[in-house]
Amino acid sequence: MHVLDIAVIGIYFALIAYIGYRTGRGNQGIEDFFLAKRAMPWYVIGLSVMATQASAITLIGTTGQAYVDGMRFIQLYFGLPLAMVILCATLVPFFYRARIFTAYEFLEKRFDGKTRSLTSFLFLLGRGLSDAVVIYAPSVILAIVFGLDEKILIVLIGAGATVYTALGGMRAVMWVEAWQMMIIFLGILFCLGAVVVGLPGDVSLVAAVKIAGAAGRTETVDFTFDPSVTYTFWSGVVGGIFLMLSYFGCDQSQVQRYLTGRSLAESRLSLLFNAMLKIPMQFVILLTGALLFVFYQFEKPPPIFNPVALERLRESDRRQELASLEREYDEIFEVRKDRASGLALALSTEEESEARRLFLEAEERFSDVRGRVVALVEENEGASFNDTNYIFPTFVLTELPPGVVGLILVAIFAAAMSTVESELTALSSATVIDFYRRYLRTDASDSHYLGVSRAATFAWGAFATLCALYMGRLGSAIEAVNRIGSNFYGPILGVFVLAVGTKKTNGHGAFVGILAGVAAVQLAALFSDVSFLYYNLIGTAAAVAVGYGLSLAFPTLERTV
Amino acid sequence: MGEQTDSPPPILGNWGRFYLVVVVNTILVYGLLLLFSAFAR
Repeated sequence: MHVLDIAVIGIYFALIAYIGYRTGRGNQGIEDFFLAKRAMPWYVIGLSVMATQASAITLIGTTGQAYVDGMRFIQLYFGLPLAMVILCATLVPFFYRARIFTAYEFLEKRFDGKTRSLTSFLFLLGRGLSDAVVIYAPSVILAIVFGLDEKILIVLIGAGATVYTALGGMRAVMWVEAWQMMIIFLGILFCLGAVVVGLPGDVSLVAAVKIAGAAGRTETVDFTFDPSVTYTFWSGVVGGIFLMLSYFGCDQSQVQRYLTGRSLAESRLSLLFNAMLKIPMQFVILLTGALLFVFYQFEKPPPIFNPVALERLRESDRRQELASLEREYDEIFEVRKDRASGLALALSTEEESEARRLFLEAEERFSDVRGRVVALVEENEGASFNDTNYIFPTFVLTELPPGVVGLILVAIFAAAMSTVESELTALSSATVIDFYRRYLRTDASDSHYLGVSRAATFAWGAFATLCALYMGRLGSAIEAVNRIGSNFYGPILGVFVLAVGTKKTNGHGAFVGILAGVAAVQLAALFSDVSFLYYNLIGTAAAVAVGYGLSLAFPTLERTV
Repeated sequence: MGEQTDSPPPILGNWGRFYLVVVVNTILVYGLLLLFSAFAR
């Protein structure tokens, strides 16, 4: 790694340590530690909310997704602005006025202790291991592409985020996240600029967009009405609204952020800020990926983007087959390059449709050869293979100048660390407020809870970092827990809908409603091919129907409204 | 004492109007994305 890149990374760590130290000094109690004394301005909350949602894989994987599959992924976010408006008008005022620490605490005020504990437990179960994935996933990719030590990267991200979260508390975390989000914005814009500058001189930006469009990489709106297709306008708006309502309305990592607002107006503004910026930001990331696809029409990409897997194949007894495929790959790359140039020149002329046909034919042959290399890798590795997440880091390493590489790496670090910090504050607040203070020590001093909160943050950080270090061995088990955990959000949203939208629901109804919602989502996941974007809708509907139905059928059971 | 007027109360409060702006802006963004896809195709 170049000395300039190391310097940029060093400056980043020094900067966040300084900001964390300056803003996090003097925490005096748990309201200070978990909620920054409820005194944060809207723009810091808004940037912090965005940084929490943007993990390193969002940055790395989304560009790769656009390269491989086009920009249709943007439809995932179509429901987000509408969900923000619904939340600002409904849940946010309830949360803010209830003066709570965790979203789940609100459920005890409305229903009972067991409903609160169940939802908080489901949150801890769902999110407890996700931090390990957030740390591990970018570390392994950066280690492979940049030749760095995976374990050092894991410790750098995990321990780095844990130390200043535990010492500085929520105010430090949110100010650091605001800066991290600005670094991420800067990194995204640099990448887009670098890809555009890297295009050949005779290929304009308009021509590049048209080439990407010819290969189906610029489809952003698909009105197909098929629930098994993952990214469509309908799944994005309908499924996306429920996904985003669940995430922003019931996930402690998000709720905790807007509970820090110095007024209800500041909390609302922070979410509406996110509503306005999220789709444009995702558009820029996806456009970078689509233009990267055009960039690699003129610059030969490796047959696969994972250099370690390629090297293993070169050293295996399948190397002759690989060599033969690589010769074919080189030839078809040159043909495709000429035809892409031909298409760029023929745009808006009579020859355009013929040039487009020739280009698409070459693109199909190119994809076929690449597909055969991937199949060979899969046979050699004995497992399925996907190099989508390696495309963007490969471009950064091979095409960008020193210094800029460091800046992009810093943006990836910032994206990973901001998500880790948010999860740590959320996990420790749920542990301390919903369990420790609720069941174990109900009347201790504020300074006692502050010490326990710091210890809980350290413990969750150490747990996540250790799990990430052993992820290679625990991988499939952790993935399975995470997959199941992500199915809890719909039912949890359902119980909040019951809490603020109905008067007749009682604690027993809500409790059974959550369990019914979890079962409904598991059944949908196991026995139907409905897109995962609809799972939250199914879970919410089942929890509301069962919870409300039971409360009406058995109204004599205790009501604690 | 405030001056009395005959104007009816607004249908949407300040926040309601803000929410409406966000919703309209979102629909506009969907439209722009549709135009982008049509242009690039």
